[in-house]
Amino acid sequence: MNEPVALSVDMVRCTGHGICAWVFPQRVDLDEWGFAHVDPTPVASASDARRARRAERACPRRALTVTTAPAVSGRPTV
Amino acid sequence: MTSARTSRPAAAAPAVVAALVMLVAGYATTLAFGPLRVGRMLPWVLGRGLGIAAYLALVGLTALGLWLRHPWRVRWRHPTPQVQLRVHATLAGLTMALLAGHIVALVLDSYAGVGWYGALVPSGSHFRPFAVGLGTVSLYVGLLVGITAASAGRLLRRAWLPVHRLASVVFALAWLHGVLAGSDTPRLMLMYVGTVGLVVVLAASRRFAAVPAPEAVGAR
Repeated sequence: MNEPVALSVDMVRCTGHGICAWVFPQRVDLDEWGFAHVDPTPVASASDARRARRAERACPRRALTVTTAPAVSGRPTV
Repeated sequence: MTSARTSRPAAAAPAVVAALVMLVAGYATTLAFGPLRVGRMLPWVLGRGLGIAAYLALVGLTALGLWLRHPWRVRWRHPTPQVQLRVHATLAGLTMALLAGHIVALVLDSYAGVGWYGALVPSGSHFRPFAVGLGTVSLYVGLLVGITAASAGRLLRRAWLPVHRLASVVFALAWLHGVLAGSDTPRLMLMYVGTVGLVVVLAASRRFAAVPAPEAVGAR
């Protein structure tokens, strides 16, 4: 089974090249000035995890990070 | 925070914009540079027209590429960066398609003196070998720039960016190729001067312009 992974972006490093949004538009959006905003919700499918890692490798500023996300339980935590 | 989209943006809109731009450019080119002549001149006329169209597509591609990271881009919020990226990629594909037509048409023209060898091997052409060779080298460097960007994160990981900076070499070689091998009327020369002026102004202002103050662009 694939481990869910999550994307995060370091806004200090991001300079708005936009390649991440080109590689993984389902999870990376660009704001009106071209800087990346990511959906932090973990991705579980193998194809989305591959795309997330590809977006991470493509970022020339190393602003994007993929981390292994904790498994999502069905019950909300308070 | 802006939420990421859950589906790819429609690819049709940038393609339609690019097609309209090229339609207008093709019509204007035909009007400006004389009536088409058919018969044995057809491959040459096609090759010439497609070469001019490919050059104009390359101008659009280069100018938009410069604009994507231009400090002044923050003053204009439309089209959105996503749409600009898609138009940029569409123009790259369009440039390559027009270039393929340009090469095939001139290779098929027995009077042009280019041939497959001349088209694919720098300085292998009987017709103006240096000028045609510049176009061939520009094509190869352009392919390298396009392929590495399209496979960013795979082939060369993040090294697509330094390779992408060779786009300035692609434009410079293509411009010289056009001036030395494809400027048989004063109007064409005017087009080459005007377009290189546009690209140089964009490149220089991108390098030296100050980023507008946040309050000037309505940043919250």
